[in-house]
Order: sequence, then structure tokens, then C-alpha cells
Amino acid sequence: MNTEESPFFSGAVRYWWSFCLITGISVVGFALSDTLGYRTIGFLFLTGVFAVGSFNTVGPVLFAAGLSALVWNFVFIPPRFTFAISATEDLLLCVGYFLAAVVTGALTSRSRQHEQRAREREERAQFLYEILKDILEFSRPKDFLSRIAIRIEEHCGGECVFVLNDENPPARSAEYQVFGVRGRKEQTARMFFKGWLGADQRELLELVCQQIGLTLERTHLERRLRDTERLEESERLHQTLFNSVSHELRTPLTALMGFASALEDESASSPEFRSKITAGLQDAAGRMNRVIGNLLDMSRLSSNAMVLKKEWHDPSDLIGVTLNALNSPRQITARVPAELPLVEMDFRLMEIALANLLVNALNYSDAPVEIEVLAGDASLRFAVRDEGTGISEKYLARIFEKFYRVPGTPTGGTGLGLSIVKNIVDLHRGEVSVANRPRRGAEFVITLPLGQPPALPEENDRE
Amino acid sequence: MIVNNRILVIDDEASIRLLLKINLEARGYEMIEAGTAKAGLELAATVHPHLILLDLGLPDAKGLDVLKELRLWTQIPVLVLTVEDAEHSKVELLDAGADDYVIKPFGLPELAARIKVALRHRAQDAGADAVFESGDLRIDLAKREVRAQGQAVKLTHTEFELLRRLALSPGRVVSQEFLLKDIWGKHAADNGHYLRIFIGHLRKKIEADPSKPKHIMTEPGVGYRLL
Repeated sequence: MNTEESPFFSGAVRYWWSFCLITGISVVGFALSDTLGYRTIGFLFLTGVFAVGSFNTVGPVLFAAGLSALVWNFVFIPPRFTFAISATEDLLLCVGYFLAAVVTGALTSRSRQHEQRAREREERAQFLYEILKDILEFSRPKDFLSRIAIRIEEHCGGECVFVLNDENPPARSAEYQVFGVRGRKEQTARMFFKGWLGADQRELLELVCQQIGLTLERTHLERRLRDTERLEESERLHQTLFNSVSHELRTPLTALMGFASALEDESASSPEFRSKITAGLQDAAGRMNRVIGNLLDMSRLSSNAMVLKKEWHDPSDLIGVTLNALNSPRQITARVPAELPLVEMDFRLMEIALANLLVNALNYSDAPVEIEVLAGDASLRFAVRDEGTGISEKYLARIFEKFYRVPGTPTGGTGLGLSIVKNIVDLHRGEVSVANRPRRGAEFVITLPLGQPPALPEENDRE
Repeated sequence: MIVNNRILVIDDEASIRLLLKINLEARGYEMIEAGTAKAGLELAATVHPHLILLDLGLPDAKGLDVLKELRLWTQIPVLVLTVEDAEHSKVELLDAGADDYVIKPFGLPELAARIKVALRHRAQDAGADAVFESGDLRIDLAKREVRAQGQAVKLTHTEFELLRRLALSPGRVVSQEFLLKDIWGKHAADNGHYLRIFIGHLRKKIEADPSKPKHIMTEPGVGYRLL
């Protein structure tokens, strides 16, 4: 605690204490004056002045030095009970005493003050440090503000409330002192304090408010930046959705409507024509379904609520389910080794990733497509290969970007398929890469890390 | 012989009802339709359908609640039509007593196959077939004999128990949780990898191409289906 402001040591009280001490020593000295010489009593007074010095500022020390010199002279130095001093040597002694008392008392007092300041500085530094720690520890302003308010109450005594700009001040706010919590540019909150504050404490609290102000301003700016980024991304997503709805969905829809009305046409009754129409209908509907699926997958992946459901799965089961769900009339060759380790993955998401690679390969070429699973020591690879025209090298780097579409590719995509793949593989801490194959076509490879699969139950009862 | 061909469709979408009517009647079923949950529940009690096709997105009640209400008094097979492709909701549907589910958009051949399975299953409930036969696969449950591609297949005890449980509900999803608990005991409910390993073993023994299974089909996150 800060002694300078404490009422116990304030103002006139200090002089009163000095007076009492010197009077006490006088009484004791008087009682012992027969056995002790007056010079020894001088030392007692000097000790008293030191004592005053170690508790007080310069004023009371001077007061104690002067008072004790007078008392010593009047009561003890012969001739006693007069201010006169008979011996020249006693006169020198008395003057010397006074000077020594003043100087040493003042020195003691000053060194004590230094010490006190240092302690106060340390306390302040500690206090500020605790507050910084609170700020770092709690990311939500509401949390660290309530914590800091408690610290301030403990440190300064009183009642402390932080009120953010959009909150109401405490009841009977006129009884509080108000500190503005501001950063460089704007005030983000106010601090209400009810209780007595010294100048030092006030200064300290202003410093704390400044620190909090800067922090709040920074978190506000960060949040605003994040919001802007998110908004931009969601605007792009909306734009893509809009484009998709207007183009990617309308195109197959046009086909659906066209084929449907063709069915009404008399001339379309030949079985050959009808089978073409149904194939067209199914194709268009499938395309619409894929576009909708992509948009839903992407919005699900970009929402923060996405939870990965990782379990140990059989990679060949994944291939089987993916191919079965895809149900493509086109030939897809699957090369799957008989013995494969279990891989920890979110089955549904990996199914989406593989299906997207396969659909991509099927869409961009009419040539055969194959999928191969390769097991290494520490990783498992899924390779999807086509025999199309490949991808121009300059576009390879951007191919997994959201919304990116290689110029000159046929329509029917949202530019989301491959970025969905990348998103899913990233969630699995895996890698996805693309390269052109030596002769023709492209190869996409998903690499997933292999872990240590859990143990299996024993099975010894063979039949 | 009683013909089990009366199907009640509860769906608020008139175009879907029309589509189903054309297709179901073409396949020899009689279709009764309801556009709301209330009308559906009334019809279910009065016309005695042999199967109910229930859409989950009804305007006047939650499909799941309709299913639960039906299950209070009847065991009529219920096939659920849903747009929700999330695993947990499928499990929820099976737990609430649905016989099967079909995700929208669905193909008519798929729906027809599911309807057939659900109706046949009810017909067989009294005395389950001791023999399951499908394409190149033949399972004699009583003799514990399995033949695939014309060859006798040797299965371990666990493999056979697994296959038997699938064969007892042919064409229907058997939930992962049920299989784990029934074969390995209650504590094994979270050890899905047991099942995946043994399903893998089984496929190697009975499927012509284990990576393109034709008999043991995986329903991701839900369970397995024997075709």
C-alpha cells in the first residue's frame, strides 16, 4: 500500500508522532539523567531522529531535530533548565548534534522514500503485468474486463465496473469516477470507479485503461477485417451460387424441359428416339444434382460447424462405395490391392473427394478413367488418372483454388469441385496434387497419412 | 394368396405423388395418397396399406413424429423419403422403426427395389427363409453352408455370424451398432473397425471383385445391406 496517502501518516499527524517520540525520549532521559551523562542522552535523541527519518518525509525530521536540540539544550546540557550553554565545547556539541540529526535524518528519510518508490514501481509493474496476462489469457473482452475489474478492486479498494460502448452504465453512475478506455482512434469502453483514489493510483488506472483501449481497438480491427474477408468470400460464394443457378442449373433445366416436351411429340415415338430422350433426361438431371451437391458440400465445408468424423476405414470399401454411388455408365477401372491397411478418415467426406476427382476426370475427357490405391510405409495414395488432353502447365498451380476454372474448359462445373477436394484432404492432414501424365491425360493424387490402427479382437474358433 | 400391393404415399408434393402413382401403378401396385400427416395417419388406420412411403418434410408435422406415431400401433413397413443425407438422421430413422430410407433425388428402379424388399421381408417374417440366394451367392443358414461363384466358401465363426445377420434381413440395412453389439458384445459398440475388417474378409471370400461389391453393400455411417 502507498503510505504517503494513508491517513495514518498524513499531514499533521506525522509531526504529532515526531513530537510524541521526542517527548518520550525526554521523559526517559530525564528519569535517567542522574546515571547517564547528558552526552549519552544526546545519542538517545539522535536515535529518535533517525527513527523519525525512517518513517517520514523531510519536514517532520527537521521538526524532530530542532525540537530535540532545544530540549536537550534546555533540560540536559549544563547549566540545566536554561538555554544557555556554559562550555564552548558543549555549544559545538549541540550545534554538531543538530546538524548531524538533520543530515542523517534527512538521508534516512530519503533512502526510505527511494525504497518506497522502488517498491511502488515494482508493485505497479506487477499489477500491469497481471493485467496484460489477463488480456492475453482471455480472448473475449467481456471475460478479461471482468477479471481486470476484480484486480483493480483488490489493488485500489473500491468498486470497479467496465462498460463497453454498447452497454448501459451502472446504476447511480453519478457516484462513480469515469475513465475513458480509448485506443489510438476511438473510445471503446468506459471504466466506472467508486472509491477513494490517490494521484498515483489515478495515474495507474489511466495507464491500465489505455492498455485495455489499445487491446480492444486491436481486437475490433481484427474482427472487422475478418468480417470483411468473410463477407467478401460469402459475396463471391453468393455470386457463384447466382451464376450457378442462372447458368449451370438452367442449362440442364432447359434440356429437361426440351426432352419432356419432345416426349409429347408424335414423331418421337420410335424406341430409338425415346431411349435417346431418356438418356438426355437422366444426364441433365444428373448434372443438376451434381451442381447442387457441390454447392451444398462447399457451404457445409466453409461453415465453422463442420466436424470431422474420423474413424478407421477400409480404403477398398471407400472405392467400392464411391464407384457404386457414382453409378457412371462409363468404364472406370479400379486397381485396388487385396491387402490394404485401415486408414483413419471421415468416410463421407473422402467419398465426396474421390467422387469429385472421378467426375472431374470423366467430364474433361471421353477416354477411360482409372483409380488406383497405393499403400506406402507411412502414407496411402489414391491416384485418379484420365487420358484426356491434360491441363496446361500454367493453370496447374491454381487448379485447387476456390471458384477457379481452367479457361476453355467445358461448362457444367461450378469451379468448386477441386477446391472441395483440397478442403477435405487438408482436413485429413493429407495432400492433393496434380500432374500431367507422360503420354497423355492428367493424374490427381490424394495422399493420406497412415497411422497405427487400433487392435482387433482375437478370433481363434475357426470352423 | 393375398396380394400385398396397397401402398400409402404420404407426401405434400403433388408432382412427386403423381410421379409415384404413374410408376407404382405401372408396376402393379395400388396407390393411395395423402398430402398431410393428419390425412396420412387417418388413411393408414382405415385403408390398411401393406406399405407406407413417408416423406419427412410434411407441412403439418415432423415426419419422424409421424413415424413414431405409426409405430405405436402398427408394424406396417414404412419406407422414408428424405432429402437429408446426414448419417445420424438415417440412424435415427432406423431407430424410430423405419424399415428403410430413400434419399431424394432417387431413381425409380432403386425405390421399386426397396419397396419389393420391404414387402417381401414382411411376408417372410413368420418363417425366415433358411436359404438366401442372390446371383452367384447362396447361403444355407441352417446348414451353415456358403457358396459363391459355384465354390464352397470356408468362413470363420465370426465371419459366418456376420453374414448370417445380414442374410436374415435380405436387402435391408442392418445397422453397424446392432452388428457390433450382437456379435462382439455391448462394449464393442464404438469399435467400428472390427466390422470393417471382417466385412473386408467376407468380401474377399464371397465377392467376385471385392473392390466393386455386388452383395455386401456399405451404407456409410449406417450399416450394411446384403443384396
